Amino acid sequence: MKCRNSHLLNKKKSTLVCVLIILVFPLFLMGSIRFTDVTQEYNVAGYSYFGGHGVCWVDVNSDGKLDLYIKNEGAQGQGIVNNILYINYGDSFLDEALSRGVADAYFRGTHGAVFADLDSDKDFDLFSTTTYGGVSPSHNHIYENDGTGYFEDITNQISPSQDTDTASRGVAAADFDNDGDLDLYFSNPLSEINAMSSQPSSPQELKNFYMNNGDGTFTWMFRGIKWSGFVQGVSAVDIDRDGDIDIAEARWAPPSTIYLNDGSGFFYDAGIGFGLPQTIDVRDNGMTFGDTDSDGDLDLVVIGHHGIDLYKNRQGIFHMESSMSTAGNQPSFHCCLGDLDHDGDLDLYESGGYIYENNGQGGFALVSLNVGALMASLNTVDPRASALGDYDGDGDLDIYLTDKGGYNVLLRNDVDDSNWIQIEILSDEMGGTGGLGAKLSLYRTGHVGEPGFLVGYREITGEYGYLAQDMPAVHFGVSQNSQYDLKIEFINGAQRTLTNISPGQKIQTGYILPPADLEGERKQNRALFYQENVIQLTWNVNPDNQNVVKYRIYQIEQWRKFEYMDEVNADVLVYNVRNTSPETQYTFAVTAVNSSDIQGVPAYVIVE
Amino acid sequence: MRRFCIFIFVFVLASSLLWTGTEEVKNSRISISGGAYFLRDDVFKQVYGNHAWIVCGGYSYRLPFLLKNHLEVGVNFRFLSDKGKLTVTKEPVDLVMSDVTLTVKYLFDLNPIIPYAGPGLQYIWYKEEYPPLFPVSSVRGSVAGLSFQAGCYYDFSSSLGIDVSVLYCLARAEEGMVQTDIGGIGIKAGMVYRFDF
Repeated sequence: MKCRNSHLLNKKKSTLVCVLIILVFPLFLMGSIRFTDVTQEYNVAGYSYFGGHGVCWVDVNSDGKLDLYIKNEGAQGQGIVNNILYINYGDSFLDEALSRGVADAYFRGTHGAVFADLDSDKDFDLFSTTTYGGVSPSHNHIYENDGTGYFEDITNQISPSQDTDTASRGVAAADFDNDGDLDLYFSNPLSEINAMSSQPSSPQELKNFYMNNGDGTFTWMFRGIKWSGFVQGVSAVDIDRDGDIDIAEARWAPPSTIYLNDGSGFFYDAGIGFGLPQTIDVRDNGMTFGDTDSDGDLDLVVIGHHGIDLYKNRQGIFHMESSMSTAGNQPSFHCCLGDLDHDGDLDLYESGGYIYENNGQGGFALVSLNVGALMASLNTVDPRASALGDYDGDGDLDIYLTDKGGYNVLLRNDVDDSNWIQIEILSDEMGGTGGLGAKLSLYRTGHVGEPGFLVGYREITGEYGYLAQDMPAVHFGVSQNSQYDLKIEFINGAQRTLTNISPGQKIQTGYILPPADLEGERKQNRALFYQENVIQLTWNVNPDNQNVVKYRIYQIEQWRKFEYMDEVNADVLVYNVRNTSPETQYTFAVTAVNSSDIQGVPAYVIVE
Repeated sequence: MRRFCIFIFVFVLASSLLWTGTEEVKNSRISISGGAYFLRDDVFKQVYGNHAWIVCGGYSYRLPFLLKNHLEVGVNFRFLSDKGKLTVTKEPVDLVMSDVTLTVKYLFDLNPIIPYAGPGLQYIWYKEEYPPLFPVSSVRGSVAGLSFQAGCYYDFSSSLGIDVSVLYCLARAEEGMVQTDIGGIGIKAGMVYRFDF
């Protein structure tokens, strides 16, 4: 019966698409935003039993190419449900979730998951939830990345050990308590979620945080966010701009809300104060934050069964600006914000629906989209999350869309210009990679801090909206013939400014920059009767770094798998790698380390 | 050069068979001296500097029946110890070299100054010790070489004198892929005691 309904629904959608094509065909041809459905080309459609829910763009094996992690919820009757980890090999993707240890096989699959550098070793670890379906145990998992994209389950590092089943949906990763490491939050910390209830339940104090102890262990605790009804998507950003990470939850029976962080990682409900509607049983699925009007603060898009609501941030209060209709009869789950056409503002893509182009002032209008891409989006049966990532490295934002009832879709952005700048924070104030919580403001060059010259504002987050995680790099659409300055504010308040940035490049930067002029030279370390082949690494002080107390030297066994070798004091700018083979090519990395033992962005050198 | 030294050595031996001496002299000398050895090898200069200090000792016997007492044969011992630094890592290394030289000297009796010159055959032992991070802890070896020595005695009494000489050595060591020229020039000066044996 269900299949039949789904078939009928598909038919209706196809009819709708045909009508649209006939009515506005000329507009489709002139579409300024062009995507191509490349799902088959890259073989990334997912499993035949479907179930696609969440999606993350992340470079798990640190090879510079974005990989895809897809969280599947099993269809009824399906046994064990595997998540998918599509490794990007450039011309193709290959599912290696099983061999790399993150298939997370569970009877009812996974909803929420987030990649974050939990141990500050400059790779992305994974926090993944399970979907309780009456089968125990239904526990969350933490997987540690070994640097090459192979994961080890370190769930047993959570204390006390999990003793209750959970039906988590959205999750978040951030340094909630500002202690220099990433903590984890998960929604629905119980099995009996009663999702269909139209009434909120009485608030329960349930443990829903894994606080990072900084030594590889986590403490499971309650931090002020009470559970009062089914939660879908979770977003974690600094909503009140007070320097700590707050949490927003899209909920079904209880109204969606915002929990403000008191600065020490304890939260209180502040949804009313922010102007969010207090209507119950609205069934929101995702809350997506972004600076839609380029005024330097985060606006809010709430998406759910009612449609898409845009809230503008005015002096810290959210004001309902407009509502947009969703594409089909199905409830909408997620929308993502990104500059899809490189015109300098954030456009909106509704999962399985349309693209709305930003008019530059934060107003959205449905835009023409080329036929193939529109059909690929609209033909999804039960679309869920979508995430933005530049999988092909051409500088624009591509879209991956999951479909619970059909095959997933990869849409390649064909904007094909160099009107973009990407910023990747390889080393943040915690020493890890990703820069979660960092705020990036792009200005016209020479005007840092002047609101009138602000080009765009972004805040780096993990999972957001409904179970989606965009690529770790921040993307700006810019004008071709201009230069820009970038201000990065880290979560600890430290700032870094990069100047005279030209469009068409991806900039890798960090809280502590790499040492300058790293070079490696083969030398013979001679005694009178014997000689040793050494590689002498030399570098210079990076003048933009402060408080550097030492340098760490690594050998790179595989690309960006760091094998620690040694460290030297800051006044030593040379290191001899001993007893090397003259026939072997070596790759080394040197990082600067500050007085708080935070390690910066590595400088690399390949010695032929 | 090696052929030249052998030629000189054979020439002095041969010529000693032609001449005989009758003058009564104290026929033995023992000497102790010190000086500096300048190795030719560029790596030695980088690791240990231009020279190393040496301590020498020796016994020589003036042959009574040859070349009118102008020919002297001897056995000399030389000891060298130095500390240096590896060329790149500047870690300390220790070098010990010693050698035994069989010499034949032709003496020009211009009392009290007695210049001399002659070739020799050397056998050299060496040992170099390395810091812990070096691929090997030490290298030991030995090699034969040739030498040519020139100098003079100055006898300021019937038993005591001084000896000043210059030694030119030819020797090459090979350890694995590393070839080392351990030849060079040594300069030494010391005391000589004369006695009859």
